Amino acid sequence: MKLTKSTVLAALIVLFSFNLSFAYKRVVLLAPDVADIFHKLNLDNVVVGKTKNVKLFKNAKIVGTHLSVNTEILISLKPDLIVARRKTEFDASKLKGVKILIYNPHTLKGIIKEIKLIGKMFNRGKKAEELTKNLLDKIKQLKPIKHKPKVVFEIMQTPYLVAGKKCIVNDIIQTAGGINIINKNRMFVRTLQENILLKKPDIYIYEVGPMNKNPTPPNKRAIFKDTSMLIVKVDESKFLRSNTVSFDSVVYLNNLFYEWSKNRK
Amino acid sequence: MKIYLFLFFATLIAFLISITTGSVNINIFQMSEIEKTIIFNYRLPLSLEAAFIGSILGLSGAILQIILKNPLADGFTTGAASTAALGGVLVICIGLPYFFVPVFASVFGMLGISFAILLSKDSLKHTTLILAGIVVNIVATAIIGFLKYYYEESVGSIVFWLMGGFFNPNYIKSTILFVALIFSFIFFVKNSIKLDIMGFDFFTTSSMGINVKAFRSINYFISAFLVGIAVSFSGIIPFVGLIVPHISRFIGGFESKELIILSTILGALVMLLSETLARTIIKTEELPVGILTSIVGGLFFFYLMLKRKDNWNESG
Repeated sequence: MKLTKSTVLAALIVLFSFNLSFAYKRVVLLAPDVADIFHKLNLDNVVVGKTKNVKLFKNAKIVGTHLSVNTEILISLKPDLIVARRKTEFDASKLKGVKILIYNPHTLKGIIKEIKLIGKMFNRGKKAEELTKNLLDKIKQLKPIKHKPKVVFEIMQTPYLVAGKKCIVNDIIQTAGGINIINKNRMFVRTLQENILLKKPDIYIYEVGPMNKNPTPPNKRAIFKDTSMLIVKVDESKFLRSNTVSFDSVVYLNNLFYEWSKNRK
Repeated sequence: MKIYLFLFFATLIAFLISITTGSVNINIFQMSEIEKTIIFNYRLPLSLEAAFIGSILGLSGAILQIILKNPLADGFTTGAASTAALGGVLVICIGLPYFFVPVFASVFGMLGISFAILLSKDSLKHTTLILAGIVVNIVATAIIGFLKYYYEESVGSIVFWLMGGFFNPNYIKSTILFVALIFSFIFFVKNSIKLDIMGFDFFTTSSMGINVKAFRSINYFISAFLVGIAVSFSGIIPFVGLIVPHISRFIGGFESKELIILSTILGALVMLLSETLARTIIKTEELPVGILTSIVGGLFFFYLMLKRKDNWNESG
């Protein structure tokens, strides 16, 4: 009986300590959005692979892009965790036994939830709590907006794409105190510029980055040149990636909306 | 004359439909301020661009078919369209301002044609040139494929641009297209008798005082330039340059002059109808016009194939 008790106790200790000490040691990030979270949770040393567009983690090997992953490099890195936006981004059948984490939040709440989850997975619970508290504090300090502006967010000029309800930008705009005039339940919505004109937005935000490399500023386009809407140019990486920077973007837009609404009666 | 007038008025009606129809239908006699902006700042330059590009494609297709004596010749089989597209894609990938798209596309289109002539060893024989054009086409398409792979973040823009459409229309573009169209149209009409004579064999044509090689090269280059400029403004819109001259011949364009005039008007009509349909077929969205012309063009060719099957079988 004594032997059984001690065996059970020993087994429990081993199991418990294993759970405490086990954390993923070789992580490949196929979702570029999550990179900033890994960095802020001091997890740079576990990232062994990343996609081309991730600037952090200098020692990590590039495994291609999130659209075309090099399976050979991926296997050679012997990952124990892969963080991807979708399971279909890579050939999972070649990586049996590897844990896959899907990171694809399209709300600020979703980002908080994922940070906590990653913190838990890597025994960085305390750090994750601190980080999420800081992020939520930013939201708490937002200024109230009296007259909510009607906002449109241009993703791409050709083809003409704007942010829909399933895009993180939608939540950024709403949390900042604006109204996204696009009400379609999609990430990117294809539409015509004349439709946007008919919806009479107050603020037109257009992003510049790899997806919209050199757009003509909307006020220089024939269709919008006579409108009085406020035109705002933003950096793609600060708005289209769901990560901690999204909270700073909320603060930025909140200030912008506040200044805009101050001048409205 | 009757057919010219009929086509001209049909094109005018198509133009009116084009500017008043879309995601919102506009009564031009009773317009709000926003509707005025839509008509004058968006749809009018858009419809003008569509009409001029249709004319350009129809005209260049007719000329290429005459000088190459091949009903399958157009901007695509000669390599001009795909090399022009390569120029445009390169600009999108590098991230240069959109202003450079027409510049690069036109230059690349001309280079493509020159390369096809070089490949055909300066023979300017009809079949050799078309084969060389197809080779140039394949290489250019392969390079575009590589660029799509390498610059994957731009793949959305590239693919959509290649599908063909009238993006961000303005009056400057329409003016450039109009100038290119009107000068080449006058040149081709003025030389239409020479183009008719080109239908004879090399010796007969030469004996009538025409420098066959030089004349063919000039026509070839102007057609390539037209294709290049059309592609640079609207991406790839297939089949218009191929179908329009066929229909023109069908409705009486037997001589070069008739074929040129009919193809120019009919090209505008076909493109205006396609563009309006592309804008209205899916509400609030714009279908790339190249998809529509491909469907219609494919069906038309299928019809031609069935119609001529018996003749082919007999000759075989």
